[in-house]
Amino acid sequence: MVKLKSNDDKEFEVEEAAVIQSEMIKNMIEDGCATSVIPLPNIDSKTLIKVIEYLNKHINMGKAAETGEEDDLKEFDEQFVNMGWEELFDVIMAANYLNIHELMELCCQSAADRLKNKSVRAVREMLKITNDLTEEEEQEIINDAPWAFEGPEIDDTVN
Amino acid sequence: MEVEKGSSDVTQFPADSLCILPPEIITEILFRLPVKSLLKFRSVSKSWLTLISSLEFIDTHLSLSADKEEMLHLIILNDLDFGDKWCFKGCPVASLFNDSVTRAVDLSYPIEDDSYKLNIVGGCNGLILLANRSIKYLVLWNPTIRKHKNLPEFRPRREEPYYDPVYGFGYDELHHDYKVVCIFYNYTNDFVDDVEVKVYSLKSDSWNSVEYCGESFFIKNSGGFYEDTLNSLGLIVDGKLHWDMGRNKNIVSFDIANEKWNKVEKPSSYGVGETESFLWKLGSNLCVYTDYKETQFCIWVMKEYGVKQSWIKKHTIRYPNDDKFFWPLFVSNKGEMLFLVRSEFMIYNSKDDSLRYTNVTNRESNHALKIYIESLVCPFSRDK
Repeated sequence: MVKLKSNDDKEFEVEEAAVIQSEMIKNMIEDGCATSVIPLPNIDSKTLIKVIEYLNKHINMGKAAETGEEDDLKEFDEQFVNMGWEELFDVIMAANYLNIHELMELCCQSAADRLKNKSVRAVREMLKITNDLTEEEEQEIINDAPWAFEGPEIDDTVN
Repeated sequence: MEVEKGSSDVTQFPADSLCILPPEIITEILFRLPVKSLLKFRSVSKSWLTLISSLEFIDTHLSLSADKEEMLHLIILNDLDFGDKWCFKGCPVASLFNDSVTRAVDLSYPIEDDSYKLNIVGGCNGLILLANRSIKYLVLWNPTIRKHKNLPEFRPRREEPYYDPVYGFGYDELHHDYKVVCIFYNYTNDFVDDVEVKVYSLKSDSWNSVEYCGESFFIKNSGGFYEDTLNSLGLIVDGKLHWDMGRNKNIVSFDIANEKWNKVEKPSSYGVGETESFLWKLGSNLCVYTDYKETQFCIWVMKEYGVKQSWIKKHTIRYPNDDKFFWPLFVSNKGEMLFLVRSEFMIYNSKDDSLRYTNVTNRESNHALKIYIESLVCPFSRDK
C-alpha cells in the first residue's frame, strides 16, 4: 500500500498496482522515495478522492479487453467525467501533476466536448479569459470563416 | 468588464493571469476540439489566435485526430453524368457506421467556375488534390477549412498525345512539405514511348522533373516501347507512394522525402482458384484484393512493410448479392469495413462475418469517393 496526503492533511491508502498509473508516483517508488507518506501539496482531499476512485477502477486496464470489461470501463468513464466544470479542472490539474496519462486524456476530452459548441463569449467567461483583440481583428477572424460562427449548435450559455 | 491586462509579455501564452487554467492545459484541451470549433475560437484572444494558427499546433492536432473516427469524413463527387451540377458532397464517417441513413451535405466548391470539372485524384492530412482531365488545372483543397490553392501550371516536355496522367499526393515528413507527383505517358501509335515525371513541392511552390523509375523496373520491347505503365492513384504507405504495375507484377514505390523509386513484391502465390484483382490499402498496410471463382473476394495484407514473406490472407468475404462491383473505403477501429457496392454503402463485420447496409441520401452519384480527416492544414505554403 502507498500512502498519499492531500493539501488539507488527509491521508489515503492506495494499492501500489493502482497508484503506479501515476508516472510521478511510479518514479518515486522506483527511486525509493515513497517509503512513508507522499505529500501532494497541489491536491485537495475532494479531488484526490476522485482521482483514487479512477485509479482503483482502472487497475489492470490492459486485461479489460480480454475479460470483456471494456464496456464497463467505458460506462464508468462516462459517469466519472459527469462533474462540475470547476471540479473537472481540479481533476485535470491533479492528473497533470501526478502524470496520469489516461485520466488526463479523458478529462481534457470531456472539457473539449463541453466547449466545442460554445460561443466565443461563453468560452471567455467559462475560462475567465480577457479578450485582447481589437474589434477589427475579431471581425477579420470572423470574416475568414463566417460559417464557423453559425449553426444551430452554437450555445451561448456558460454551463 | 474592466479587467487589468495580464503580463505585458504578449508572446507568452496565454498572457492572461486571470485564466483559471495554465497555458499547457488549455493547449491540451484545444488539441481535442474539432476544426470548426478551433476556427471559431481563434477569436477568443490574441494568444488563442497565435496558438491555433501555429504549425506546431496544427501538426499535433492532426496527429491526435488520426485515430479518432469522429474526425473522418467521406467526400463524394457529384458529377454531371448523374446530377445536375458538378459539385462535392460530404458526410461524417461515424454517421455511416452509427446511423442507418445519413444525409450528405453540399461542400463548397473550391473554385468559382465549375466548368473545370475537378475530380478527386489524391488526399493526405485533410488536403484533397483535385485535377481536371486535361492536366492544366490542379487544385489543392482543404474542404474543412474551405481553403484552396491553384497549383502553378506546367507543360509536359512533349505535347499530346498522352494518356491521363497518373497522380500521387503525399506528405514529406523529412522536409515538412507536401508533394504532388504527376506521371505522363506519351504515346505514338498506341505505344508508350516517353515518360515524364514531375514533382510539385508546396514549400517551394514549383514543379521539378524527376527521373522515371528506370530500365530495371520495366520491360521495354524491341521497338523501345514501354510494355507496362503504372496504374491508378498513388497509395500512401510508410511515407511512400505506391502504384501497381499490373496483375502479378511488382508494386512500384516512390519515396516522398528522397524522391527515390523502389519495388515492393507481391505474394509469390495466392490460394488455389484465386486471381489478383487490385492493389489497395487496409488500415496502414498495403493489400491485394483477389477474386475466388467469382463467388468470394480475399484480402491479402502485407503485415510488415517491404517483407515479402509477411503477406497473409486476412479476409475472405462472399460478394454481397453476387455483385462484384465494389470499392473498399475504410476499416474502423472495431474492424468493420466500409465498402461501396454499386451505389450502396455496405458494412462488413469481420468478427461475425455479417453484412449490413447504410444509406446516404442527397447524392446522385458515386463516381469518386474519398475518406479524409478534418484538419487545420492550410493548402498554402508551410513556410511562415
